[in-house]
Amino acid sequence: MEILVIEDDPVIGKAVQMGLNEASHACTWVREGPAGLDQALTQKYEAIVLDLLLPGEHGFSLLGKLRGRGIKTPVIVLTALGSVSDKVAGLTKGADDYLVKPFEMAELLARIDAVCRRATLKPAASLQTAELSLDLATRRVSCGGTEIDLTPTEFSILEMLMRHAGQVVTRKMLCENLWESDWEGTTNVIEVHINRLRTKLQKGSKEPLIQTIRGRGYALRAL
Amino acid sequence: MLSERFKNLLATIRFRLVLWMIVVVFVLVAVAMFGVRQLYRARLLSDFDRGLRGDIEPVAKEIRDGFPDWGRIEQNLTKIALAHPVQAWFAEVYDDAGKKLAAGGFRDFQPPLRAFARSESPQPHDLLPYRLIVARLEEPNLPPLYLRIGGNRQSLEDDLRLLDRTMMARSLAILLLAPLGGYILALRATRPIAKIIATAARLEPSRLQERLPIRGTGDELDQLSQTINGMLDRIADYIDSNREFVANAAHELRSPLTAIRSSVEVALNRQRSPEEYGTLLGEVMEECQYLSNLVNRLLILAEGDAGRLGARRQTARLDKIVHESLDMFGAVAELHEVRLQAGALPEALVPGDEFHLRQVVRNLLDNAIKFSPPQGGTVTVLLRTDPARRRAVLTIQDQGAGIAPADLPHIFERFFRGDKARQRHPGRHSSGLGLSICQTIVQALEGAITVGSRVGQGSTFTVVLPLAVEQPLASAAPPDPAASVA
Repeated sequence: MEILVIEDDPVIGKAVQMGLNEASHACTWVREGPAGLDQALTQKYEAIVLDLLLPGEHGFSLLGKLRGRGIKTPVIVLTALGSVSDKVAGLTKGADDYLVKPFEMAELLARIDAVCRRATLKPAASLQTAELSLDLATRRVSCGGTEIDLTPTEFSILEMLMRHAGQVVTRKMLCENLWESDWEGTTNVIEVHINRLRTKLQKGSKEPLIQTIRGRGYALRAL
Repeated sequence: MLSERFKNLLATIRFRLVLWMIVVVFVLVAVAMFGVRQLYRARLLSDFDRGLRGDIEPVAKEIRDGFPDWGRIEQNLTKIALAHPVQAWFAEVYDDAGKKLAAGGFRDFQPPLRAFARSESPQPHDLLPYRLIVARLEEPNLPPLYLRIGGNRQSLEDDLRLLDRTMMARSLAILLLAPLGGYILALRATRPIAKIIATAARLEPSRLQERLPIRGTGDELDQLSQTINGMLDRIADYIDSNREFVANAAHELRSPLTAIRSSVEVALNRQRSPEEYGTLLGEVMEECQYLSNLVNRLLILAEGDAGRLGARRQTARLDKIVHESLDMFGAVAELHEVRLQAGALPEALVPGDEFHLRQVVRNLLDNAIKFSPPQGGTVTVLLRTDPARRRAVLTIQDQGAGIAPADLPHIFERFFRGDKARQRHPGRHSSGLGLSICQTIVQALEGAITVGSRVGQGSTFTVVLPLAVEQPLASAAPPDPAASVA
């Protein structure tokens, strides 16, 4: 996918660019507001990652101009302003999603996927990987042909992992998906569910399917 | 600027006090003087009139004695007139038909006919500059007669004018002295205010030790000084606690930063295998996560301090949040062999946003599980609504070691960490902010959080929140069945 990143911080910009490239996205990184607006107006991108406190022009005003010209490219706002009212302001200004710094690359990738999917595709009825199959309508899961009984929480976690098969899914993403907002306490409320899920999946597959990625989260083996 | 200074002077209390004093004194003096003058005038007139009435009898006597010799009567009347203290005194006698029979005293007086009223109850009246009285004289051996007695009231007017002049002079003196006195009084009254202004102007946020002097008079200005001093005490306390908070926060941030630094230093020390790098970077990542969690927690507290937590007009279903949190911690509790027991969750719509209410419930639940004894125990969660008192009460009770009585008053303080030995998992990453965040949020929503604890028996946290005023029908649906306890 072609993604435009408008971010003035050199370290964050570079990291985002590298992260996007490694996730096989083409990335244009612009460090100033007016230049970013030019890029967004002259070239077609599939998503825009927009910082708010930019030199030359505030992200919100840039977003307003963009939407004013009828450009509907999904925009993910990236900012250090993290209060609830800031988020609401961002979304009402026409942003599709809002990510508060410091953020995790895995989450940015997942959100880019999500806004692009929201913009184009219809939701799938079932999810498939090499060994797993998950039916969203009947809420049935089978692993290597064996049907597996999952609790609603485990089902949601597996669904999330399968949607991002091969990618890192962070604890925060799982938490927000399950219980609306992240839990930042020291108790790892996801870990227990992941462990149970692993035990249940072992019935159908000899290989461990869910990997723990230290300090980042979990990933479902893609193949 | 001169005009600016003049404007400022006009705006001072002192100036306005003086101005008001002049106006009030002027009005009071005018009213008082006018009253005195009217009183004095009435008194003079009544004296004059009494004199005229008193003259009726002597005149009648002369007529009785001299009748019908009008010439003699006239002579005697003139004698009376000469001896009379009233200026231009005169007495005239008329018969029933209005014909003048005799006259004595001042003769230039030519009263019009209508003044010759036949009145049964004679009242003195004015024919300026004269004042006169008409009386009917009815005696057995005399024909019906009318007496007209009067005199010039100029002396009365002269007296009044003298009084007016005296009073004018006094009033003028008072009016000239009043502003001066007023100015002195106003100066005395406002001097403490000037002192307050000067002291307040000297205060700096970095230097708030100075207090306004209390003069001990107990007047309004003393009360004002006391109020300001009280306010200064509170501000100083607030600034102190803020300073302490910032210092503590910096200290807390230092430990993950140190950890990150050490990991990175170790990584950079020499060439390592990719696995080793991975491990070290994973450690760095974990510390970063802790760091951002800490910052997020500090931000919630900062928002609370700025009074921005309760400002939004939102409502949330507390029962749903409790339900959801039970689901969240269900598996963890099971893992630690803690029985998570919840009563019925009645619908409870409370003001506040879900994000912050979740923080409260989750932190309390997390603590309850964390502090449960190693062999398990029960955590009891109860939610009840009290519609009569318009409040929802949430209690979370554990069977842990309890909180030492010495620690109990401090557990809601920021960065307070109790005895770590009680904790089942004394993780390095306990920020000591959980309960103070709970308190900040609950208080911002105009609720209250309390704790009861017995060492060896466990602790009970109680959160009381006001119920939202309106219960929208849309939210009356039962909690999502998909989110049932795992």
